[in-house]
Amino acid sequence: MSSDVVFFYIYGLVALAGAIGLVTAPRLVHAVMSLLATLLSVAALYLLMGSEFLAAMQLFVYGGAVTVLALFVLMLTNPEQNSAGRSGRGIVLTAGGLCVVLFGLLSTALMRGQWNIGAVRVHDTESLATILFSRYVLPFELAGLVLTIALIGAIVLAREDDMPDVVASPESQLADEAGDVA
Amino acid sequence: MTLGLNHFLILAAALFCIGIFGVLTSKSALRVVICVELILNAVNLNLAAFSAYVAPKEAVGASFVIFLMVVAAAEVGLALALIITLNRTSDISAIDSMSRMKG
Amino acid sequence: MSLLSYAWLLPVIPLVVFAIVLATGRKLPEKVVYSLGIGAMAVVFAGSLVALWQTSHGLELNTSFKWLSFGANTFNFGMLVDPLTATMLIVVSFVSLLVQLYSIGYMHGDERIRWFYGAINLFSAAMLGVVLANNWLLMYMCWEVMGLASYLLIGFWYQNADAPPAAMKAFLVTRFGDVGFGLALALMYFNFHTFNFTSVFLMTEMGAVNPTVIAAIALLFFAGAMGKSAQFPLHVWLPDAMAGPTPGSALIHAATMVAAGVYLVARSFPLYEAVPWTLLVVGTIGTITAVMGALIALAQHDIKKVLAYSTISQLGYMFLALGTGSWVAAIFHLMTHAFFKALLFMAAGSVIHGSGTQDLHEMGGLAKKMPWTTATWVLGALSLAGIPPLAGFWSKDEILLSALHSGNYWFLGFGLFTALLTAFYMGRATFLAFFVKPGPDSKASHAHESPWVMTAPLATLAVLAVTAGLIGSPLAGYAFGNFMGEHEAAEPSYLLMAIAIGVAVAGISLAWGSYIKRFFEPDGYFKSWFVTGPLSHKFWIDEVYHHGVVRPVNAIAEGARTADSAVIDAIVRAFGWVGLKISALLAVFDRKGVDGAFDAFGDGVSETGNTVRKIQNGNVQTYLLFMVAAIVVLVAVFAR
Repeated sequence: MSSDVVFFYIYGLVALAGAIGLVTAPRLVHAVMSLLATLLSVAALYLLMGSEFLAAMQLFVYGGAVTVLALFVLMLTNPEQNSAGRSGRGIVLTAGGLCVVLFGLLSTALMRGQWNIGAVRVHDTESLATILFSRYVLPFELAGLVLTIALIGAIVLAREDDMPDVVASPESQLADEAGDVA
Repeated sequence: MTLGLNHFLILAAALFCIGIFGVLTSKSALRVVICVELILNAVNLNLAAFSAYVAPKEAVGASFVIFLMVVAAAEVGLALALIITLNRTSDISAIDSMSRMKG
Repeated sequence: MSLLSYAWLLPVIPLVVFAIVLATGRKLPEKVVYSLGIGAMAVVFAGSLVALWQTSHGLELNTSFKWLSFGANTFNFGMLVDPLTATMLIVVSFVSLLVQLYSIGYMHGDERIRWFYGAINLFSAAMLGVVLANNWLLMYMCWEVMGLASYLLIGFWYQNADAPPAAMKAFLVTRFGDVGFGLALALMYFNFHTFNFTSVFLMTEMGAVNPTVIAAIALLFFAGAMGKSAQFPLHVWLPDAMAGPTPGSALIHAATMVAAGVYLVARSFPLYEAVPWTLLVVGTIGTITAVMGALIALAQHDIKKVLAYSTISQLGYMFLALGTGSWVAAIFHLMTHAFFKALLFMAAGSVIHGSGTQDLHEMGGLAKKMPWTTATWVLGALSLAGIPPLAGFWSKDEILLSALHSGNYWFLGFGLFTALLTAFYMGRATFLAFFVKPGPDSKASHAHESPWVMTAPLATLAVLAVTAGLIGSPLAGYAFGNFMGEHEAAEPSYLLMAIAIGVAVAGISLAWGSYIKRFFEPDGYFKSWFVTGPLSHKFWIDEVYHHGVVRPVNAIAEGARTADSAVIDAIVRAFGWVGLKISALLAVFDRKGVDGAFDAFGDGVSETGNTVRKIQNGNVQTYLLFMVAAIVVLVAVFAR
């Protein structure tokens, strides 16, 4: 076994353990921390594939921003509800069974696939940049727009309602006008 | 034994299924959101693996991973803002008590 | 394959202990936690001894491996073990070992003692990483982790009002210096295309890089060192850092971390040598700090603050040594200072533990109550004051000698002046705490000697504070200098030694005359300086920062916030307005055209809906469950 495979198993097991911790941990803080373990090991897996840039992005976006955001929400919302438990036994069993079956189907299908084409490693940061800024430059700009809109949307949604005539009044005006026409 | 494409694909499938299980069974809205993140990560892993093994010269898959990360970031931002708002207006973040969609 | 190739284990062992503490939280019994920490550090200390033994036989290790590559740029990590590293390893692991032993007693009964051990081990791992790194990048990363550990320990008692702001201040002020370090790294990579010590020094020697660039890099490194090593004007965080637990202060803010700046400059010394005027800058800042720290220490009445300013002053002394061109003397003083200052801090901790106060005026007469603490403190204080043949005398003498030979008589003069002040304030603290008759508000009557887990490390350190200087003295043929690779030892000057001894004795006698015999009352004579003047206000530097930095930054932040809300408000309003207009248009279209068609359609749907509504319980997750079931069926059909 080459060292790559050993590292793959180490990180893969950490990722799986983190994922299982995410769905089973009783407290949400621990769930978020398990998610972090998974995200970091996925970053390590990107490195194993030779995709350093993706690994760095995974660290920045997921390991940094998403986790911290989740922790902030945890902090801002009601702590009693944060430890909200689990659905009923019937649902858990049904969902668990479905997921096991799904995994079995997927893995058998994958094992029979003819994709196993051996190790190819390239340092693709440069080719990634080339393709992002040439063929996919329009989607790239649009992605920026999507982020901006999402940001504004998030601000509008999370704003306190006691700041008048910014969020509340267009709705009420809308209601008024609707009433007039009717 | 060398590190092949299937290794990554099966790991991603496992993460995906665990994520689905989490979405289906969590009561807390926040946990549902981060389970969705796990699912997206599994997808990303698939894309990146295909990109590295099948078409290493053109990083199409990897660029899709970047776009997915953008969408995921936008999604998580909005979802968490929604959770805060819900929590403020109706003291609800346990998702199964949100059954106002009942017809 | 020598034993040195296992050097990477040294930082990994305490890191594993930290990880265990982090993962287990309160589950492990306290005893297990501190035996883990102490056991790990004992192993590391043994490993450091092996490293010292191997390097003293001329073996060295310098390995690299590829860490990351971006396109054509690769970054390497690696280890370097040479005499300098081996010395630092010994200092760090030994002091950390004793501090952990001592903390069993000092931190006894603290609820978060496990976390304390975790943080100490994180710090030890980072510091060992700093001294083992063979390139500046890895060093910088460990350096930052060290800053984090320092933050955690200063803010350890976060329930106290002064701890969180002190931790924040330490973090921000050192970060200010670290910006310099970071810029230096960028500049270095841009010009040298590597971070490796050996390659950079080789290129510097060959003159491959513009000297101005080298000077800029050297000075930016020094900025980082100034932050970490609390040099003027970035020294303000160190006295506040005393809000942390005393053993932590002994390890981090006296013996090791603050010395990392000295280590950085010593390690990068060929860069400074290439552009000699940078050394003058280093030496001048060091001299200013040495004198200023010693002056402020005269007027402090908190025993830990005296030691904190003394540390600042002694670190200034080390930079003074670097400025005279003798990094060996600086490292020698770093080593002896680590031993006697750790001793003084831990003895002060024992005093605080035993008497329950930190105020010198509330002590007095402790010598009878705490004999072991007193004896070890006195040895440490004499060593710091520079009384032969204790350790501090030899290392100070090396520095003064180097100043003499380099011809920087300003450095020499201020060095001697600082030595006088040092002897005076150490005498003052010693007499006030242990020997004067207890005053009316003294708490000395309840004082008691500390348990043996606290006095045993004190005694061990006291032995070192007495003997550690001999290895670098003329008596041992400058063994330390030879070990470091400095073969032509400077001609010893017996006149200078005599002057240094005279100055130290004069300082101590002055303190004896003032505080025991009361020939005169310095707090009375120099009231305008000591009680109300610049000394007790620490030269108003904190106030200058408050008015010059903190308030303007707050004002800017406030302005930015106002501007921000104006801009975001405007955007949101615009969106709302556009949405409103579109909706109004749609509403008309909706009612006129769409409603009629949909009403008819809706009736049909509601019929169907009534029959299937039983599975529509309004719970999103139930819907999702059906969806997943459908997907499973689809996968089973198509991916078969």
